[in-house]
Amino acid sequence: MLGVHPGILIVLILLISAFISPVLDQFKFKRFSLLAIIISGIIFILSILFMVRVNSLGIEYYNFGGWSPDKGIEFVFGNLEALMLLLISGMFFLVYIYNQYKIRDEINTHLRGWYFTLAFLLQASLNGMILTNDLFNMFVFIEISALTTVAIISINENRDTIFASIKYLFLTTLGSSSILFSIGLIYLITGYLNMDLAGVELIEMSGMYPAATGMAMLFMFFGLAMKSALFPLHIWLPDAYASAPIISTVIMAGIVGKAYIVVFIKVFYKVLSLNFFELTNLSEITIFLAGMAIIIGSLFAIGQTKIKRMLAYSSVAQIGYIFLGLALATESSLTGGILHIINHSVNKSLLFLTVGIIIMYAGVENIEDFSGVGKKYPFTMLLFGLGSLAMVGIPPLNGFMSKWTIIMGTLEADKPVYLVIILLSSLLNGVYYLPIIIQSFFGGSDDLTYNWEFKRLGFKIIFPMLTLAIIILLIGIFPSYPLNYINKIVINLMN
Amino acid sequence: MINGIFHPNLYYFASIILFLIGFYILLTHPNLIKKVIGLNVMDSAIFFFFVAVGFVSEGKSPIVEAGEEVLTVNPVPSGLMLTGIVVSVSVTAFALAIIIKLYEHYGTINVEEIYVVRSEKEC
Repeated sequence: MLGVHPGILIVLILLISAFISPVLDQFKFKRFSLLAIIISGIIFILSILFMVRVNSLGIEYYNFGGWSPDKGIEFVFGNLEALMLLLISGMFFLVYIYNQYKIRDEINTHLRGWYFTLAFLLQASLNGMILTNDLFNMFVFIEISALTTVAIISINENRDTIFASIKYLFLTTLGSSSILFSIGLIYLITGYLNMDLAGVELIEMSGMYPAATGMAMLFMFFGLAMKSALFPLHIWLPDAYASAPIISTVIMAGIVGKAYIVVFIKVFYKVLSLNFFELTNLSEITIFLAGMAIIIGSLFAIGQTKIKRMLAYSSVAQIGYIFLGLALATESSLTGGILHIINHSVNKSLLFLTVGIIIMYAGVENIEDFSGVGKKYPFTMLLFGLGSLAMVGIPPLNGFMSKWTIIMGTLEADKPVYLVIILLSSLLNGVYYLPIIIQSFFGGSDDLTYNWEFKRLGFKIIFPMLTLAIIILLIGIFPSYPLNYINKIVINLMN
Repeated sequence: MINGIFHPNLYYFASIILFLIGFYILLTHPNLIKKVIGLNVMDSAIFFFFVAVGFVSEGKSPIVEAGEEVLTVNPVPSGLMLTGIVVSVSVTAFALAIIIKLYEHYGTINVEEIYVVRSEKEC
């Protein structure tokens, strides 16, 4: 069908368009959001093609410049990569459609061209680090995404964003340096940078160099946990999410954090073999930290007064669920973990999109001011309610399916304590989500004249939220298709 | 010559000590410029480590003519570190640029003082 693999085209088109947009800016080009929608639409179509191609042809490899895998850079196109690329490109497509009218005005007019440069570069680097099969190439993509993420936080220059971005920059660079050091150790032990080859070699060599392998594992874990904000390394996350413009927050919460978790899966299941992960205490430590993240993230969220900060702490808890699923390392828990990556991305994006409308249109930022908002913006708050119920894990919605699968995993791994933690945390989620919904619909004054929300907001803003809500319902009501697909990936990873 | 005096693993040991020094500076110093310096020390330690990985004692530079059999150092880690240095420089530049902006907004580059300013604002 296509001579070049769509996966390569995705990264190439994004990199080229990243550098086209500032050039267009010089020629007084104004319609950047249209350009972004078109380009991300093309990328979305390409990732669907990628998905179709993987399902029909199986795993493919692409060697850049024709070098053999032990010398050159290799991209891998498997099922996990296809799924995550579809998620990322779909999310970016919806976010760009949403980026209209008042939401767009949050970013200065003269910065818009540059904003899309950053966003395209970010998307390219996220796709690249998921696709690549080369450790050093992965580091380069991680570093690009770190810098562009800092830049999209600080695009609106004020006290809070500058402080949040310097905090994020230092901590994320600490993470990247640790990852690079770990890559150095892996190269020292095995002599390969290719993930597959290094992984095979490491199984043989790790017995000879237990200290070096352990250190490589520790540094890699530290770096990736820092980047994906596993408790207690989450300290940059609330500041960054709360101060950034809403569009950057959606990109960070829904997309960027998830890509690092996929890298975590790839590295820890392919290179640093899981047996070794279990032999060291790192597995136990990760499970413990994930449990702490679930409880403490929820507790912190209850105490927040600003809605964006509350959602940020809720993210900390949800990342705990994902890591719990990954670290328990049974078939169900890993399936649940990967499904929860998708669910959390969809749910949290929906929540931030609706909150963006409430903040930008209704001007409400504090949780206590939410009473009565549901009467002015019933449709938006209805979707917010749907997203938060999915987050709590009410049965016909998607959050229930992934939590259920992780719970099955805790039983398989014979760790019933974490079952209790998950149930307790669902209760805590209810404690901070439900009052907002109840207050917004039943609180406040009654004498309001409601005018039709679709007209006020415009179809372009409603459409992405509606799509995400439909995805929540679809995954919740028909979970067997995604679960089977992910289960296939998990069986591949486990072997 | 050098190997007569030093154990070959000493390079790795030295780079890890350097890394920890950088890590310590980054985590403990309240001054942001010193934090950037710590970051650079850390990165330099990693570059040193990589180059040491590729080093072969008495190896020549890896420019070999056809049919020639000589012992050369491994060029791959040094090549990778060129990229690493570029990344490190751009991170440093970006961090310094943000620190300038931070100074404009808060009037200080000391993290502890910035926290004080921020808490005063909220009260």
